[in-house]
Amino acid sequence: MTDLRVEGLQVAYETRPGERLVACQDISLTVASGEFVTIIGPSGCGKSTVLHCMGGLLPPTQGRVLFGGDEVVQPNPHNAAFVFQDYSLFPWKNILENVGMGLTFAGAGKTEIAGKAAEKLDFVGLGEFAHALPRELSGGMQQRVAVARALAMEPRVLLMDEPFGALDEQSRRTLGSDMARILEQTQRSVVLITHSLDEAIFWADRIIVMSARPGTIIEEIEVKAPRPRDLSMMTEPEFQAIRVRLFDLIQLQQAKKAPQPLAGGR
Amino acid sequence: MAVPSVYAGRLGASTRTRRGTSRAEARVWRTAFIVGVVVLWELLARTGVIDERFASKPSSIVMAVPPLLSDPQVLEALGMTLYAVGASFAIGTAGGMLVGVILGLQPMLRTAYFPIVMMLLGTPKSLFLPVIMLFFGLGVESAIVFGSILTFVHVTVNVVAGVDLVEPKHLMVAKAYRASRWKRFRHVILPGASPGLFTAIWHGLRNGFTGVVIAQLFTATAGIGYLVRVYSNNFQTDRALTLILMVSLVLILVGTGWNHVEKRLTSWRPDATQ
Ligand SMILES: Nc1ncnc2c1ncn2[C@@H]1O[C@H](COP(=O)(O)OP(=O)(O)OP(=O)(O)O)[C@@H](O)[C@H]1O
Ligand SMILES: [Mg+2]
Repeated sequence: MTDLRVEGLQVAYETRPGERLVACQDISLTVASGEFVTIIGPSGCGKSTVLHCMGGLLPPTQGRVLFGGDEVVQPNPHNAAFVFQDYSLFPWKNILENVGMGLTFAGAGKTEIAGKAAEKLDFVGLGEFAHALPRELSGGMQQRVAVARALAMEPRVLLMDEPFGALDEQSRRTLGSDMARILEQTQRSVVLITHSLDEAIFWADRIIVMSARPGTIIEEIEVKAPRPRDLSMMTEPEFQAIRVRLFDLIQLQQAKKAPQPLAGGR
Repeated sequence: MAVPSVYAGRLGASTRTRRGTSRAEARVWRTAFIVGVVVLWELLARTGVIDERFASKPSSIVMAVPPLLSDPQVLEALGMTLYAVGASFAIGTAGGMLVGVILGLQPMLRTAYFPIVMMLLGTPKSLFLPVIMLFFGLGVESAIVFGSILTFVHVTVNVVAGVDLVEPKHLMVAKAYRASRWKRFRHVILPGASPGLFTAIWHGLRNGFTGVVIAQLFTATAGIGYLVRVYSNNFQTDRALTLILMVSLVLILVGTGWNHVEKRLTSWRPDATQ
């Protein structure tokens, strides 16, 4: 039983003494073992905040997070490993060392680190950059390194915050479908935040759509297409129907965020 | 609390100039300036426009080097000063590193104590010399104590500034992957703060040296500072200036060497130039 549950989550940041900003509220969701969940919503609606809570990085203001029935109070990278939105590589370590850093922090042995780091780096297609420094890599390549760092933990859940945001559409699709296939085989759960409608649908067993801040869940959409999925899935009517639905939902939220026209009554 | 930038005030800040060509050009201009000053000085002294007894002249300074270096009194003074600088550097840097890291990592302690360090940084520390002498006498101890204080203050401030360079996102990765305190320090804080630590060590050395020489200049009965005082009082300006120049040269060489070491060790920085 490795499902991840979020119950009645609310997070408020204290921006200034006495001033609270509610980032998200009433978030309840379950990620079943082996399930792929994608989260989509307007910028600043609290997606990263929810993800950080799911991995125990951020204590909820209200509600709780359970992993396999136990309350999550601190990060455990073997259960849930992060890929951060800003990739956060260590500029003073080479690429191979960076991939192994998660394992190093978590206290793995040297040979295990070396083996797994090299393997995952190859998997994201950057084997030849093992000894380069992060500053020699493009943004998209750095994101792939961050993904490899999380994969090297072989965690039960991967928490990915726009892991392919800096990639072009083409590489995003190929890397995405490769990764989805690998993760499928290993029965690993994935929570993926994205701004790309295609990505949200292609990966997902379930899409969670969030409202503008304070973020709440406004809709959950199941994607029933069989796995393993193929990029040709994107041309099918079901895919297109969901895409239109998502587009409308997001449009509506964006409109709410924008300033109201003067005459517009509420 | 504002902290002086760790990038400011480095010896040879001009080496940060972008292109190799403009750097070479700058070097030519600098050399021309120095040669010009030396030549002008020599001319003015020879023609009697400035009084050679007070101002000496470049050729006399050069001539003064060999006798100085074979003078046992000078050699002893050099040894004494080197010893005092070494001791000041060791004491002040060790203390400053420790206190700097603690203040940098503990917000409460920082709020409580860092203002004191900043206040010390702003005060002319020579004001403490008489009190130090009262406690430690006219010997090398006073010089070491004064040098250590100067070193300590500068190292502490630069280490705190260095720890501030550690990026929250990197600390977040360490937390997410559940790094132990030691691993977090070793793999995240130490390398992240290293530009500040390098600056701290350099400022520590420089200020330790300044402290020792100032103490000797005013109070001591031995050491380079003391000799400079004696020579100046006896109108042996050439000897005094020679000593000062020799010492400056050593300091410049050490600083340049340190700069190279730093560049090599922090070559991972995105703004590093090869
Ligand atoms: N550490 C913090 N302190 C104060 N406010 C914060 C903090 N982190 C996030 N916020 C605020 O909380 C809200 C949600 O932030 P969050 O990063 O979760 O949004 P997001 O949905 O991930 O946005 P994006 O799609 O742009 O990444 C934002 O309005 C942000 O300003
Ligand atoms: Mg985000």
